[in-house]
Amino acid sequence: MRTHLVAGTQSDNIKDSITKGTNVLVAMPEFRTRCRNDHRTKDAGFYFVGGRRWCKTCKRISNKNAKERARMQRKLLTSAVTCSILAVVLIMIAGCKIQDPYRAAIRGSADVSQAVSSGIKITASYYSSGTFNDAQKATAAKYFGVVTECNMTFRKAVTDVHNAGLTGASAFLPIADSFVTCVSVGSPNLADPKVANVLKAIDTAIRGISLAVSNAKGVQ
Amino acid sequence: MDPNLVVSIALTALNEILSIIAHIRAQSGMTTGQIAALADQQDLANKDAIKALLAL
Repeated sequence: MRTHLVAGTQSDNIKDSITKGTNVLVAMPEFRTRCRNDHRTKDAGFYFVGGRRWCKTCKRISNKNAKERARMQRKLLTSAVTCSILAVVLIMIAGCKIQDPYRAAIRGSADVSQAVSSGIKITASYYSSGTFNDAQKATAAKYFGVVTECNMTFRKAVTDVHNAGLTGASAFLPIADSFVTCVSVGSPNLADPKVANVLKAIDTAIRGISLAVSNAKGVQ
Repeated sequence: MDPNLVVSIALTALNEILSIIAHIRAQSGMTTGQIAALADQQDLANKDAIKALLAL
């Protein structure tokens, strides 16, 4: 009767299996030179995790594929979220046709505030999930801060013009343009496409104010 | 990517889209002054939210 183990250390048992010819590396020489995917041991090598033999090449390919899948999922999700928010913002702008320029400007400002609020929540969600790193979060936060300050200034200017008795779109358009300039000057560099995608909806809402004021059908 | 995180982000996005739609609907019944006051409140809330975001 052949026993599998002898009383001794693991090393003793390995030596024993080699002596008896039951060691898999001795009994099946191809086992030590090729993995199941035919990668050569000489080129790649094996290592053991949890008692399982892994081919280094197979593991490297598997890791690369998993990373690529995760990257694609993140990209798809980011695009889907951005497109959805952008679509809703465009609906907001399109819905501003039957109002006077003052109301269009104030509604546009409120839309920007709402878009910033959504952007903050989405950024927090992205950061918690690891989609955004610290630097990306900080860039987005700085942008939100700049937009909020510029938006408050814009709303005050619009209200002042309205209180001064001016009603035509031409009185409000320069203020809307100043809002765009204020954000452009103060905002951080948005070269990172991932961050730029999240902020696109806010940018669209800001630029949409001029359009909404121009299209206002009320007092001209 | 963890499926739970995907669901979490998707839910956040959906929630935000619903918030924006609710915001549009709410505005239609308000005076311009009320919309301006609401935007003021939203901006102040945003400032706090930005601080909270930076503290994450």
